[in-house]
Amino acid sequence: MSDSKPPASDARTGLTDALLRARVIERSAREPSPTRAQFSLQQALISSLLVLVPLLVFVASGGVRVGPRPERLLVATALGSAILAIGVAIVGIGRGRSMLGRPRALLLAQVLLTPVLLFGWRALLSARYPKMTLEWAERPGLRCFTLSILLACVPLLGLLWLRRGSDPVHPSLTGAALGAAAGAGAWVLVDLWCPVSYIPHLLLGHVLPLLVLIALGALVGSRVIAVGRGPAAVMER
Amino acid sequence: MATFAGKIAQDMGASAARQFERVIPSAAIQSSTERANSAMERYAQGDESAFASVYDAVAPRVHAYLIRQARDRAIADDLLQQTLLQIHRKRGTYVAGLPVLPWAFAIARRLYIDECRRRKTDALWSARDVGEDDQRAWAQPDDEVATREAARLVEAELLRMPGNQRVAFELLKVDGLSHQEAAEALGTTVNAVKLRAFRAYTAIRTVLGCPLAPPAVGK
Repeated sequence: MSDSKPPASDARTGLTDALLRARVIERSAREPSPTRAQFSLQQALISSLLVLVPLLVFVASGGVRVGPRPERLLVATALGSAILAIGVAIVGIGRGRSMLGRPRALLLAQVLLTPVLLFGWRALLSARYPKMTLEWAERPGLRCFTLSILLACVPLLGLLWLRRGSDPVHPSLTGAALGAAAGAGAWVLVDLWCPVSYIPHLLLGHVLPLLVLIALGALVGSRVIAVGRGPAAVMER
Repeated sequence: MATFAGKIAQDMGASAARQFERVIPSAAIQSSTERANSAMERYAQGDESAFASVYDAVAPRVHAYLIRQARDRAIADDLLQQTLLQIHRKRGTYVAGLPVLPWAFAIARRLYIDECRRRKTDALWSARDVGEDDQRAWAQPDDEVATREAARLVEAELLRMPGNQRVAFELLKVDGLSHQEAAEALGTTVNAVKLRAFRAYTAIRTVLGCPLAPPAVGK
């Protein structure tokens, strides 16, 4: 048991490293992956669909409905919601200057503040106009709830698909942020569609679906967005 | 005997980090980071040959990290392969100029945690703090003391275990014999060698405090 022999373990290690390198490169060559140009094209096409589908659903549902609302209220509500939704989308969908996505705190703030800001904007603005927050007995909010989910589900699923298998750090939170972004987009259209600003109606028909979408995004995101072993990723020995 | 025990300790993975650790000067780190980013950029643009450069820039450090974490060369190899394949699959999402190494380390860490969970080891591993792990990945641990301590523990354990277990273990792990060859040398069956080696392996891993369960000897 002396050390005079050549370091056989080092030689074995070197050989193993070379074999491993060759194997990984060979496997990557066998498994096609989109280049940036291909991915960007794919992303652009899907993103167009994610905008188009909710718009079609919105138009099919009747489009803009002014109701008893003053036009100024309608425009101000929609404009404010749209600005908020764009901000929410930039934070939730964009990855920032990191391959690991936005910081956890920023995503958490986005998820928590989105319902609060959108609801606050709508409620406070409507409260400034007379009779705009009165109860509508026949409109508890179920139709708005359904429409919100219908408008947002395709964008949410599309966004989750685009980010699949890409987040090794906080996939649930990323999914929740995508849910908030999709929900905020739907909120703008539902704002244009629904003239009711009665607070319980807003909570049931507008805020609750947003929360459902956030929860759905977190749930699906933890499985879909998380980095994991690919289906054919079993080590070949 | 101490050298012999140290060799076993290294082979067992207690000080695998020392065996594979590369002490990288800061200039080299900078250089490898730039090489990784530049190679990744070329690869994202569609230069297929650039993947080899990405591998060369990323793999050594991620591999060292994984070996330190898993303390098992086979597991580290597997996780390194998965990490590089993840990067390969997502090359289209790479944004020019963004650092590749943190991405690679994060993927590796995630895969490692998943592996621990998959193996149903205790929750202590998976609950490790990200920052702590990342710091450990970039640190240059002084393994000398750990190696000596591990060697002492292995030596004591080898002396304590039954002779047939020790011999089977040494033939397999130190001399590099196959199960069949060891069985022939000892005049016993392959299964008996596997069982003895497994018991020895388990005992040594226990004293070294290696968290992962020993690999199936039957493979």
